[in-house]
Amino acid sequence: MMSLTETSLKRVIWNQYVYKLIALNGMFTSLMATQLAAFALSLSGTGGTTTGYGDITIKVKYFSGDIIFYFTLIWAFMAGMSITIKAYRDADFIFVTNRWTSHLSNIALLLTESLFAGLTSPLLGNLLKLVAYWGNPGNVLGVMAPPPGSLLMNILVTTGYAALLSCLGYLTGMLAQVNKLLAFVVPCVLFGSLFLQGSDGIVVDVIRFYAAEASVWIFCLKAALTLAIVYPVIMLMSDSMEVRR
Amino acid sequence: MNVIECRQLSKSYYRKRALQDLSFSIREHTITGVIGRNGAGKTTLMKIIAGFYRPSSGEVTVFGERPFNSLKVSQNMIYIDDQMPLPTSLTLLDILHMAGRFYPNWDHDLATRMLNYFSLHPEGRHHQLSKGQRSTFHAIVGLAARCPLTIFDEPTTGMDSSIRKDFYRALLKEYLSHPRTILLSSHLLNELEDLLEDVLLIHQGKLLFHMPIDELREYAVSITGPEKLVERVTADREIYHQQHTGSNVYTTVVRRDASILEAARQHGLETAPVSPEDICVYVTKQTKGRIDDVFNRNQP
Amino acid sequence: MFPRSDTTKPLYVQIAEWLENEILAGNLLPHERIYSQYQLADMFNINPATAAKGLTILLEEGLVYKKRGLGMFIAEHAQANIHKKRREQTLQLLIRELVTEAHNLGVEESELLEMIHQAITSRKDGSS
Repeated sequence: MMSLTETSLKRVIWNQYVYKLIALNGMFTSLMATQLAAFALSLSGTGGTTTGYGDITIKVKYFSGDIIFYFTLIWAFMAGMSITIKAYRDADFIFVTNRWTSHLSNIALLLTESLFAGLTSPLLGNLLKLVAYWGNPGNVLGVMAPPPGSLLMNILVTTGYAALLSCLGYLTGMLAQVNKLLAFVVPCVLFGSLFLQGSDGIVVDVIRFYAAEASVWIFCLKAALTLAIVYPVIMLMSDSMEVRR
Repeated sequence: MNVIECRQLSKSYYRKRALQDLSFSIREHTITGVIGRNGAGKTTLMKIIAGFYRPSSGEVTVFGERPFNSLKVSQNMIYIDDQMPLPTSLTLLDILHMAGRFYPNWDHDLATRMLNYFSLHPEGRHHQLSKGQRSTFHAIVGLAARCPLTIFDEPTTGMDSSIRKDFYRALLKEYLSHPRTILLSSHLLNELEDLLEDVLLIHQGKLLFHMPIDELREYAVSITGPEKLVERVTADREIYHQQHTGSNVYTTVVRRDASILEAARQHGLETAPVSPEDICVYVTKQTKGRIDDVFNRNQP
Repeated sequence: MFPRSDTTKPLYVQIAEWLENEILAGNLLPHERIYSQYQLADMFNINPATAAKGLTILLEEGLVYKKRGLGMFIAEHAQANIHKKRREQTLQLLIRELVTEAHNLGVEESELLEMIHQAITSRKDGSS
């Protein structure tokens, strides 16, 4: 009497995505909190030098969106990691899902949040500069006028980095689920190589691969390709994980 | 048509054998009670059927497919227990709306009416509910989803007896108007008796029996009378339970059949039916001796 | 809700007996549709499969007949047949139990017959 419902992968992924968007809105609030904190911290300057000659001392303060940017990246990494915890994975299986739709909707969620972060971070950075300009009347030495179109580039680049970092966070979180030891070993190895090998090391090379890229569009391409490779690997790796519920 | 088929299903964790060699099938449009002690393996079995766990060996198919990682099974099945990790950021009504998006058979009107009947606030949050209210809410979700396979794992945890009665009634009414295949696990078999069609008894990971409740009701009989006489009449039979029920009055529970009934009648011994709950308890006895022995230690 | 005072009889047998009582009382007339297993399940708060078993008993005894696709209907002489059955089986069973119990208690045949007489008389008096 009751006929089976036809399953549509796309519909399920969409429903899961909407569900997570609404249920995990805490992520957006934590992003805002992080960025506001970074904003507050930046109000006293994001860099500076002091020079002096004789009785004269000169203090120079720089204002930029750097701190906001780095805080946003840290947030992205944490966001990626946080949706891999047991509670959230279990929550997927309340309604309709399989392991693929679970991952794909997570990825869609992280990309959405990266875009959101990519929009808010540069805008906040610009706001900071405005506040600094008006907050220090008469003291402003110089403004590096951003070239036209740089806001868009900023958004793209920030989005790209946020997407990469959240992917890295997701990977780390998933490794932790597979084997707790891995989640400890991998960061150790990474940081270890940073310390030991310094600027000749692999980790720095990897970072340079992205950071030293001059062209925004090629950077975006690199980021997209990285995601297109790493995420499927993560999906395959965790295919047989049980849901403990 | 069999909705669920298990063939020599086994599941082990870290050296512990949770399920051993289970083979059975569940027919479409039946209500089956999954009965067993704590730790018998009921939840493990039902979670394997739901596709949350993978079998260690053996086969399980639901709707003809392996349930693990199957979108088809997930779409047509809902698993309800008291642990459902529903989000705290949504109101109860929002959760119902969400559920409605996933399940095409969802009856939103029914869900909201039940929410109202059980005095659950639509604007309340999941984490604010008491234990019993949580079970009630989960039960509402399970019933309103109208999934072809609905699995309830101890759905009445924390519910008081009048709410439990309402739940059983709601389950029956839903089953009558929209038949589906239901698996229901509970400790309270005596309450469930009338609701069930079949019973699956699991003990220490093994399947003890799978039979219609009517058969289970007539599985055993208790013979009561003078001790020696009762012992003689039940001499070469498997004893499920025995105890003194008065001075020199002895009761023994054995398998029911025509010959034992006749023998009892001839010797003037009293016979009485044994409820499904009792026979399940006797057959799965784990404790050593009786509880009275714990208190009798110091007596000469 | 359903009177389960007599727990020695299987539930589906109790359902069948309840239906027979309804037929005897004239609440269910010949060629009327009998309750479906779903209606019985709803009325007595039981699984419809159990109710169906009760209906099957009536079907096997020829008290109801099936019309394909429409359900089960009361047979023409159902009431009379039930009467007959009750008299033969039920009364016989009661008599046998009575005789056994009387024997166990050491009651003589004449005393037993006297007691039956008294019971019949007092019933007649009670109803007049």
